[in-house]
Amino acid sequence: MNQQTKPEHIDEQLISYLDGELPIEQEDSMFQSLASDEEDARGTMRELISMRNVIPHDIEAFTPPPAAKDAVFSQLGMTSNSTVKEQSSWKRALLPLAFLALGLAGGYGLGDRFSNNDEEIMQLMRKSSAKGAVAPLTSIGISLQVPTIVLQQAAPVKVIYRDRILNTASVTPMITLPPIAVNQQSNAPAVDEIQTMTTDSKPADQSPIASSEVSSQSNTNGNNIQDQVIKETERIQIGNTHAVYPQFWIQLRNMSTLQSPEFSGIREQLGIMDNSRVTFAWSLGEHFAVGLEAGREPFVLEYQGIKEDRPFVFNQYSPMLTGGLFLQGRTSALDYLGNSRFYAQAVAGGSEIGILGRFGLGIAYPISDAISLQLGLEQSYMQFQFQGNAFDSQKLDLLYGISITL
Amino acid sequence: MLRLGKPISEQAFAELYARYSPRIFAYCRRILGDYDRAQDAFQETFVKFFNSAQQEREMTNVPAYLLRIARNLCLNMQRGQKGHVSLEEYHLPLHSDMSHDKKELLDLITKSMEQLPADYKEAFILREYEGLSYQEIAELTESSLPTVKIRIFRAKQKIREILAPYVADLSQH
Repeated sequence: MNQQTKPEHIDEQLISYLDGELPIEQEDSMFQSLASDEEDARGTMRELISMRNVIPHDIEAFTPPPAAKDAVFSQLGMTSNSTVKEQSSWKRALLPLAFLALGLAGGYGLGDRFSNNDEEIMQLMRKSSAKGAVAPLTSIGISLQVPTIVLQQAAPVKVIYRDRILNTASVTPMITLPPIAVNQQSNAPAVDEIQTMTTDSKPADQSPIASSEVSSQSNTNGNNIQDQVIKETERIQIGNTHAVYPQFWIQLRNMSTLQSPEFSGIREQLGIMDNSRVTFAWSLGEHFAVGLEAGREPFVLEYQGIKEDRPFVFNQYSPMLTGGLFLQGRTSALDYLGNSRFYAQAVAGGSEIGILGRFGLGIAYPISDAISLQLGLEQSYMQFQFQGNAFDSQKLDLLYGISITL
Repeated sequence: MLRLGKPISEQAFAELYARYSPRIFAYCRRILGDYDRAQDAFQETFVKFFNSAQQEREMTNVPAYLLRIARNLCLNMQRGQKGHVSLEEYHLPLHSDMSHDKKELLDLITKSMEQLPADYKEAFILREYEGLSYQEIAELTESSLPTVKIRIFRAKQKIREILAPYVADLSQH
């Protein structure tokens, strides 16, 4: 410690150098001093380094009392132990699960509501008969007996004409035609005769006729009648009659965001594939489908954080990959809407940065047996973590696309 | 995109507290010396900071802003109580993992700081405890850069003088 003998400017240089404040042009002279015979300079350097190294170990000074934290947070009306904790995994999963439940409930609710509409189907049948679809029945003296059409709910039913099985659905409301009543005043064959003829004409390999089944006759008139009834039944039950489950289908959709958090930054230019989704699904019944979906879409991300010791709010609007489990519930085909179906669907999954849940409602309009057009609204919710804190982003999309049954 | 001045959320405040509370407490603790007064100043600093942030005040440098609040509070406390803190109050238990020599050296440094003029002491604390640059110290203390440089230099020289016997003793062993 020879401050007196050592030029002060060397100490100054050493202190400034260790503090990162020495101009670069003075570094050479400082190193020359250290390298020369000035042992004092090296000693000073060692002392300064020791001083510097020991200060970070001043734990007592760097450790605020825990009571101080509680006092600060309680003074501000906060809880000191919960604010920086990450949400537990089950809490984070709660919302997507809620979306799933909502989707299922919505889908089944819609399905039941429409499929239970017996009167509606009765009217359809009456309307069909009024149009003469089954007129030949009356022409041969057999009254149509439309009111005797029995609607069965949730019971396995088969409508069999000769060797044709029209419907094998077991949980779908079905239309069952009872034995045709006979107008005794006409020259039409009596019920007994019909049954007899049916029995006689039944091929050996044909299914036995149950009381709720209608069998065919071998005569020409009978065939005409039955063919027309088949045709009409098929028309009424379009979409249901030939369905064999599980049924695989693909849904291709694009979307337009209608509502999302306010975004003040510059939006990235998005390509068509940056707002699209594909779903691979299996219909497990008329009203329910399950599958997987994947896509790429943008979310508005806004999160607060600390960067280089500065707080900031970061806004981002970038497309990211998404995917998840897809569940759909849907109504029966609605004749008065061109056999369209309403649907409710939910997705639980994730994106590149967080977990994701969706719920959507829409309508599917069939343009052929295999293809239908889709239009719907969907609310998405994504939660993500940044610097240990949870943030979320929500948006409402208009979805449009096609569904192809394979 | 950087957007500043937004009202601070509870989560962000918790994050800021976790990040900066050690430094702020160290400043209060070493400037005031007294543990209880340091705790009072420290708590008040964060409360004032939160209230200011809620009013959407511009804050481009949070630690500097926190230090400014802490500094004002500490200055007020020092004005309110002129009496010096005894050296014994600085002799507090240190981290048990430290070697005996380091403990002793740290103890001596903290005691030496108390011998410094207030301006030198503050400059030293802001530099060594808070890690601020000379320019940041100048802005915080509203002093010129050369003044800060001189204060730090003098403070370190003075501390070295106080430590000299100890260092000499260490070198003999």
